Amino acid sequence: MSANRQQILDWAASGHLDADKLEQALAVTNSLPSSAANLRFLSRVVLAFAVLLLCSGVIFFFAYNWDDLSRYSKFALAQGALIVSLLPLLRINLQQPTGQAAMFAASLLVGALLALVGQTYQSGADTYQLFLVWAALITPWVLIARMPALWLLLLVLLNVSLGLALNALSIRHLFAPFSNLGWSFFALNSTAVGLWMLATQRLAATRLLLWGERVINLYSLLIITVLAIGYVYSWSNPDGLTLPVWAAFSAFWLYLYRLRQLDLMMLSALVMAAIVLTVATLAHALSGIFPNDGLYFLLALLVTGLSSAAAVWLRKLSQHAVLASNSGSRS
Amino acid sequence: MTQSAALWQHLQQAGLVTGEMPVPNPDDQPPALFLRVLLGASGWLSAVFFCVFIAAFFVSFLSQADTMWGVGVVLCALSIWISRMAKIPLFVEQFIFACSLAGQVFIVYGIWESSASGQLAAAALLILELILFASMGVRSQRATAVFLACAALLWLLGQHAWLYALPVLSAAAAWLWLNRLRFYKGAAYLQPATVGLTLALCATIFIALLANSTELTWLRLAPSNWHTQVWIAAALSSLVCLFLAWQLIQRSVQQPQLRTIALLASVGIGLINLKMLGLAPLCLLLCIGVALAHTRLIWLNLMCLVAYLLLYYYSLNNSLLYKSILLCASGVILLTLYAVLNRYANTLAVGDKAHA
Repeated sequence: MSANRQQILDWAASGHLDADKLEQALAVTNSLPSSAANLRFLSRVVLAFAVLLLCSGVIFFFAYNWDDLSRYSKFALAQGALIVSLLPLLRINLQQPTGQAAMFAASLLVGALLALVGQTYQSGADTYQLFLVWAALITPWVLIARMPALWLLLLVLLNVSLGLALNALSIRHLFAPFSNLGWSFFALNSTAVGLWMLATQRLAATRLLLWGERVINLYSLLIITVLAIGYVYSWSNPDGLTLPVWAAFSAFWLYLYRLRQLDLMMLSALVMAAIVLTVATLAHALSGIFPNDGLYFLLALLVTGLSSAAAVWLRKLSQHAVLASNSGSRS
Repeated sequence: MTQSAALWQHLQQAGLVTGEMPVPNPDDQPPALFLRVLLGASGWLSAVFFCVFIAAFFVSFLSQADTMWGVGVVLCALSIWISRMAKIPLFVEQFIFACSLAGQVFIVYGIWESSASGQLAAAALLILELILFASMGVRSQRATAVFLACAALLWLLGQHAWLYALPVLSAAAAWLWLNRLRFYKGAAYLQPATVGLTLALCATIFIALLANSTELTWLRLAPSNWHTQVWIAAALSSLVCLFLAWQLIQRSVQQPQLRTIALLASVGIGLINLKMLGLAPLCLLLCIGVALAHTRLIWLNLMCLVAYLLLYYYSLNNSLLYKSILLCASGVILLTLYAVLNRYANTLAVGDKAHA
């Protein structure tokens, strides 16, 4: 439907279809979603916001630490909220939006319950153990539900837990040649990408699954690129393998999104990261050689040239993909 | 037969097109979103380097402010001239984007320095952006020009009236989106204008939200009657959004019962907008995006709504207990709305199946 819609819009833009007849053309060819589809989409948006607001309300309630309530009442409330959030699952399938929303709400409320434990027994409501236990407790649900949003929640919890643990345990650096703390985040998230791909390779490729993979992979790319730029700007840094790891990661990325399954959005993200890294490296390397004004002009030209070349390459890939799909549909 | 050929034949049978199906020319296709993001980001990056280069190269020359804006005018004129050429390579398109942005910075900074008046610089920026919008040959430039023109307008209105730009921007952006298909003839200008206005509206909503918090009180119009001003702006934007929502409902909702529910929901959101300034325009744009099946508008508004709610509840100057009650009450209302919408969605889907 969206391909038809785009095609009609293209014809209108090129003047082959009279712009006055555009609305009629879209209606005749059913190129706009039906009222039922629109309403279903809006209802899901409303449900997602409802769950987020309700869970935030419960978390804020316990954060208020109301003195007039006894600890038993607080625990009863927290556990009651958790049970109520799971109740819809007695009647509704996990694959339905309401079931998924209930599961997501329950996963959030586990955190509220753990925070209440931390608050009551003075062990702290923001320690790394709390987030780690929270992640561990919801893992079975994550595995059962196979929901991208839950996978991402689990990963966020692990990242927060790792960050807090490094801070709490006063770990300032890791072992050479991966001494920067960023490597631990890179290892965590790139492992998560691998596990995600393994877990979802037999599932039907939905948009949500695709976006889940993209988000984690983009985060990993961001971490490794920041590490690489950091390495370029501090040559005394002992992490000598940073640039080779960046290159290997890029090669793997090319394999994934160029050879295995063409994904132009991910390729353009890689290109952007490569441009930023190249510019940072050249700016550092040439800063003592070129006068400042010449260097900046060179960098402006370099960014423009590299991005244009990348755009030409990506556009060609896109055109080849369109031609291939057209010839596929003809045969 | 390809999908495009079948579609063309369908349109031919409906008497909407005549003749052979046009052969697609790959070069005529507008760049996809990923390309626009890549080119836009790199365009801004190279503009920064280009600005610094010009400032460093003409360091002695640019010590006088009037020569600085002269350099800016030359850069902008050059970019307009090149952008209007029939077919320009992508590299040149990117370069003139950088040139034009650098030129705009120099003009505004030069005027700011020479006159020491923010109002004059804002007026100059507004005129400059309008000229660029009318004369530039590149669509992304036009969208940027509209966005910057709105920023200049807010700056020009200053502490006296910037808040009132919100209902005006809401009306303009939502009306253009609503009539996007109707005015497709002027798409070359209207679509970039719509994008620029939408981005400016989102930015204004967030500035208003931040100004409402205790952290950024300097943004307030007049500290003594700030709440009255906010209330008037909110009431105006609620009215504008209600009027446009009614137009959307008339076009997109056929069932009488559903129409009543949609109208009630719109009135409800309009009333909430009196307390949560900016919520109604975001919800309206989201609904227009859904009706037009415009994925980017939907995602932009969803992200804005999430950020808006986070900021709103964070900046509320009340106890956590009050916030908790407010959040739970909002959640319950939304759950009820979900139940109603879901019921009607199922009824409509059953009706569609029976009709098919």
